[in-house]
Amino acid sequence: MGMTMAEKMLARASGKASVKPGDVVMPDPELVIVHDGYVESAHKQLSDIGYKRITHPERVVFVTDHQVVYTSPLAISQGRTNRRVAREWGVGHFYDAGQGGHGHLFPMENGLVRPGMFLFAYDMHCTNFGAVGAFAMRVGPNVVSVLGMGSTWTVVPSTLRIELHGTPGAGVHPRDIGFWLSGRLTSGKLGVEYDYRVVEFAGDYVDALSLAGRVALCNTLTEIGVLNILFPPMSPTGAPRDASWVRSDPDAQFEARLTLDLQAFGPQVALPGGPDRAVPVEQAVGQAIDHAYLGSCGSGMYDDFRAAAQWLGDRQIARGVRLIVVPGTVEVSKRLAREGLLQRFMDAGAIVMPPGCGPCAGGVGGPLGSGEVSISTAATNGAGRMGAKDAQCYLASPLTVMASAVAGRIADPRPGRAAA
Amino acid sequence: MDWIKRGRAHVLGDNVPHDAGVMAFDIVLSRTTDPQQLIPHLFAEIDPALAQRIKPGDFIVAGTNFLAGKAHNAGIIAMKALDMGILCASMPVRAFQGVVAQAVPALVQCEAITEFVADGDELEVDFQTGLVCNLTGGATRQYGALAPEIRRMIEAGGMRGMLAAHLEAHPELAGE
Repeated sequence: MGMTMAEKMLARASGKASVKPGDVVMPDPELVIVHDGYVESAHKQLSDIGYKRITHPERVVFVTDHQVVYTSPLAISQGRTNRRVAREWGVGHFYDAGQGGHGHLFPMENGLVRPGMFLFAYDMHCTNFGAVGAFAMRVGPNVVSVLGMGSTWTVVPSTLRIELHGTPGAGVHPRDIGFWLSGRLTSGKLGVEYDYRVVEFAGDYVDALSLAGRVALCNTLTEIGVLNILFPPMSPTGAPRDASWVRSDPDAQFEARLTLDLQAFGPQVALPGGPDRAVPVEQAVGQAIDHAYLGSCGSGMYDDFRAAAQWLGDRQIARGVRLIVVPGTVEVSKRLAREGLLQRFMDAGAIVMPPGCGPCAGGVGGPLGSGEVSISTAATNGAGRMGAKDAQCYLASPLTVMASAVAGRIADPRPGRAAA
Repeated sequence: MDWIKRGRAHVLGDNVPHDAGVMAFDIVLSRTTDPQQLIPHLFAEIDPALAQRIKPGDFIVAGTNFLAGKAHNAGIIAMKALDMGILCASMPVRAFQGVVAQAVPALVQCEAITEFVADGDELEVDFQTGLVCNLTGGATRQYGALAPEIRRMIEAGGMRGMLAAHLEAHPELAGE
């Protein structure tokens, strides 16, 4: 019997000829990624048991994206500890503050994460790596097991295959598709299970997506409990295809298959509370905003900012609105600077921050006050995600966020619809 | 390890999330793993007085999708420190991995258990067989037992116990 992409990568990593959904496996990861917010805790837990070294330090990647500009004495102390732990353990890849950028993005840019790879990571949005056809599994606090013992147990998931067809009109971005699809899945309207499932995308819409577009879909669906999102393999670095690039077999067993037509699809806004609380933008238009934010691991790539900057043109940010722009990676930031796009954002009145998570990581660098309203491309929007618990966090595509920042209220980015 | 436990039930509903449910998000973000810091905040977002009512050995009884959302473990650490057990209708796989890592005994396929158990009921639970006796109501229910390989991990002390055993087998990891 054939296998899905996910099953092939898990089988190979587990040293097995084949696996099937429900199997308990101990995959051997090629990389283990831990972000700056968890290094100290992982080190303390292992030290308390007596570990002075870790298993396979050469595979370990520390990224610094949650606290890039230290905004508290605690963050300074944490940064110092992370540097000490990186030295003490001899980790193979240490990206300190100001290096690399967002750990869910730059490893694809620089080829650290490649198609066909299996890796473990602390943070759930490692699923971004499915955009290049790699399988990254979030292990959360169990990353301590992986650091100490080299692996941890997991369960082989079922796969849902979704074919996306059609070409949505102007003003529609892959984040819109992600919000809409998340809402359709969690509401049960698509009649399929999604929790702990892999979503494997295909179809002519997908074939035409850039890496940033793929990332947008990976990122949004992760928030509802999908285990992983996989696309056909691709290499952003131009590396040639090799035997590690895998696709599902023609006779692979998918738990369900869906085919969706996006032809008549319009921009969406996720209402405060969750990325799946998607409504057509028309239902949110007019809501006054205080804060807007472009960036995060869901919309932090060059194409996202270019699309927003093109929409912006020579317009200005509305008075009373603070727009925070956080390029996802150092390379993205440099390219935006080189091509004059950072200049365009700053000319319009935006605040540009260094690459990383930005305010999505608990409001760091750009928090919300009590009662404030934000619209952003953040990964998620639960209460208190970006500051005050009674702040309202709307999510939208880079185009809708840009249009809203200009209008001073939630606006429709489609041609002729934004009353800016 | 004694797989039969007796204690009082604290009943919650469906879809109780870890973040902003079992544990406030700002406490989660503090990344603390110190149970004494976490215990006062356990379930405070749902019922600020619940943590004070919980006695060591008690059970959390919940409906479907218990520990929903991001699979953080601050609340699970606190539950472990209180020697609690979990009975719920369902739980996401990733949350269950966290529960096993903390060596918290749990039956996670207890269909409609919130209709069988009321808040405050005295229970006796055999995690090895899946038998739940409601000592207050005088009835029993048979649910799915813990799988043998999961029991072995919990018996070993969860993640910490397995790490300790690994270190014993690989003393080079304890060297400078």
